[in-house]
Amino acid sequence: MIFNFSIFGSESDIVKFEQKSMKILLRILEKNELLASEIHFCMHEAILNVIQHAHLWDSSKPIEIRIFLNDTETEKQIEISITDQGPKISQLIQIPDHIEKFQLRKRGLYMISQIMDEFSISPSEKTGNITKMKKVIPLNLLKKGSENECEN
Amino acid sequence: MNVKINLIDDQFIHVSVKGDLSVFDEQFELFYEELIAYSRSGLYMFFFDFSAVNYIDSSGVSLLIRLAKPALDQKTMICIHIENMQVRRMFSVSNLDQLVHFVSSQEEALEFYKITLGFIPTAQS
Repeated sequence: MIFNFSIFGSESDIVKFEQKSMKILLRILEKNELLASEIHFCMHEAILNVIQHAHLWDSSKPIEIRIFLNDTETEKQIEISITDQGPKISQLIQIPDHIEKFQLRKRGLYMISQIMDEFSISPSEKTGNITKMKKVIPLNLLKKGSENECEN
Repeated sequence: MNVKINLIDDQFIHVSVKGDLSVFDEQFELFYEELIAYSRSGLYMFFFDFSAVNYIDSSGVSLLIRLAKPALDQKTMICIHIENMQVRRMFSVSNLDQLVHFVSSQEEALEFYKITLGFIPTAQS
């Protein structure tokens, strides 16, 4: 299953996209709110990173977002790619695996790396850059989460 | 995002937030600037009532880190009440949970500041 979006960097565009994507995530994650919220957070942070650092708050530049869902017998794989129109970065962005107590810069990237199984930002083959994230969710974890929500 | 800020005895700031604490909320910038202004004026005793907050992003986390540092310098912490599991998870993922003190009410926050700083509001003294 593939979902494609093209949005601009205005607050209203992003808020609308985030509402839509949250609905999709809840649906594909069988209403597991904690997991959906975590992946939603990572998309939000990746888009914020694009707007701040690649588009420099220029809301006329489009952002292409692709959510790809692959189900296997034992797990769900969610792959998200976000393509920006900013200047190409010269090399892979270093994602911090550790963060200082009061460090503000790169904390959003650090948080994404703690939630996602794979996360990278690299120059795109065409224009701009591409942020890629992947989360693998074992089906038994998903069922467990749904059961806990029912119990509550 | 709906925000109410109440200053008690010119020292203790009660901040009540409802909704999403996100940089894309139109109220966020004003909220950020106001709280940083309190911090710059030397105030560090904060109680954040986030019981009705559903979402926090890294900008919200950054604001709290900036407010937490002066409190830690004074050998205390900013106090936060959270009920939402997803918001609590973001505090953990960002390591912000190591810089703040979780409480369940304003009374508990005041008790914490009484213990750590000897602060007693006028109404209670």
